[in-house]
Amino acid sequence: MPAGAVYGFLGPNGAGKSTAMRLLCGLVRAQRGDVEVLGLDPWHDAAEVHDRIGVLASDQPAPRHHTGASLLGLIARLRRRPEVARRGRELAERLELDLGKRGHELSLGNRQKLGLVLALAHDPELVILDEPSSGLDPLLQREIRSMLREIVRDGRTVMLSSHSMPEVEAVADVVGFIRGGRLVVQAPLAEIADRAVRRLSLRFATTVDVARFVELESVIELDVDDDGLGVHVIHRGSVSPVLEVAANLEAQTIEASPADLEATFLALYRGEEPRP
Amino acid sequence: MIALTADLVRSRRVLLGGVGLALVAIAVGYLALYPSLEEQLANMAADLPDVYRALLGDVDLASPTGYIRSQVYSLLGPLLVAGGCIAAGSSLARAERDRTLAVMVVTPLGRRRVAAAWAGFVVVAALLAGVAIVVGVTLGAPLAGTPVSLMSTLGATIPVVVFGVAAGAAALLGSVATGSPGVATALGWSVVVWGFVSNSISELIVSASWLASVSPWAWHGSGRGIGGPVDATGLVLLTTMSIVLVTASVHWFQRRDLHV
Repeated sequence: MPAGAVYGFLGPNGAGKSTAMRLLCGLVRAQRGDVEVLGLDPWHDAAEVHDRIGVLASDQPAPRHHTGASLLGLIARLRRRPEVARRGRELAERLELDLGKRGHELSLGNRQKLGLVLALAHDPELVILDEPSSGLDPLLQREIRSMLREIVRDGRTVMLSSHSMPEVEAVADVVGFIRGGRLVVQAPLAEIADRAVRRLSLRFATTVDVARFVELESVIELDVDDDGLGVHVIHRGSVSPVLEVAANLEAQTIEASPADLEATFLALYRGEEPRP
Repeated sequence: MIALTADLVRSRRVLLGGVGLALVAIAVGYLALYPSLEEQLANMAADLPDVYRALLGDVDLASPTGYIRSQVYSLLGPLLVAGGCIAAGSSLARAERDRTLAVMVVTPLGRRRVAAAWAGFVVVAALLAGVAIVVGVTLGAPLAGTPVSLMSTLGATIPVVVFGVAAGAAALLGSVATGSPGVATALGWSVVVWGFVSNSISELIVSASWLASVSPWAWHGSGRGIGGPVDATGLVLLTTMSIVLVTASVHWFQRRDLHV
């Protein structure tokens, strides 16, 4: 995992994302192989690792005996860092979280916010987040993405697990894809995106010479509607060459479908070029 | 570590306070009833078979101190104190089961200190219950028509507290070893049952009489408990057992995968 970046950890449900993250947090012991976090063994050097990382578990529950404020106070005392409480209050304000409510009074989204506050309040070098956006509305998801970018700008590192491609695509610099407990692909997101297959739907006022699209190296497939005015271009890599031809042919409308990065990952896993 | 123990006590203060008040109320209530029951108790005690009396802790039910022993120290006291300590010891497993433990084990405190903090919680729960018994007996003894010195009350209460800690330590071991509240609770109560069975066997089998040392139901029999000497052997045995159980818990908690 590169330092100073957002690492998106992707995979379908049951692929082993949460288990891998528990290994990194020293909650479970590796049966084989080695685990290293910030140069330390998270199992044997758990206290030091936990001092330097912040963790949000998937669907993290909040203790029912505590209010957000009292939990923050406890964590500040356990970490022996009084500033954690102050920093936590700032984060809670930013996330619009009421710290006066007890754990069992919090909704799923608010529990998630409290988990984020606890994970980030001590300004950790490495932030490990398991499905951080689950239960949050789009505005808050955007706010969290912005917080993660700020962490990376400070030179710190974020590991973000998700089964949602758009969530990872929106924030990650590097992506790893896990399947069946194995990391099958790891690459900069730009590189993966460059090899991804995308679909562009164009509409013209009159029938056009579609051969100009076929001549492009990046175009894989082409469909033309029965009326001859709608053209669907399936291409790989940069969209610029297709847009250039579309502009020359005076396209009226253009609609782009998001790339299916999961299909791209799986194709790369099989050693194939991604196909539509 | 102390911060976590203090937090465990603070966050469960309503429950602990409730158990404490119940102990005070039970002690005062039972002792207030003594004057009106004295004659019936004397008749019943005279007719009671020796073996059955032994099973009840060999107490002199008819005397005020015997009544205090039988009602406060021989059954309800140990049961409530042990019950509170078992709940405290098994709460670690409940925190793991509901995954709220995750918040604590990903701090630099370390698992060893988390387990030790929970052991501290068990001890504090036992001490608070002990204080409640002392308060209840001190308030209730005059109602029963007998003065009981604070030293005598403490002498009778300390073994119950130590027994409660042993039961709670067993529950703690069950918590850290399995993460199952059910197993933890069962292990804690097995110590309580073992204490009761020890008393019965010790009274019935001469060669097993030493088992009485580790049973709170025997400690408060004739000549012991209130007004009598504290059984140091039993205290040492149970304290040693608690230390062994807590040490094993701390060790085990560092080695087990946590499902949080």
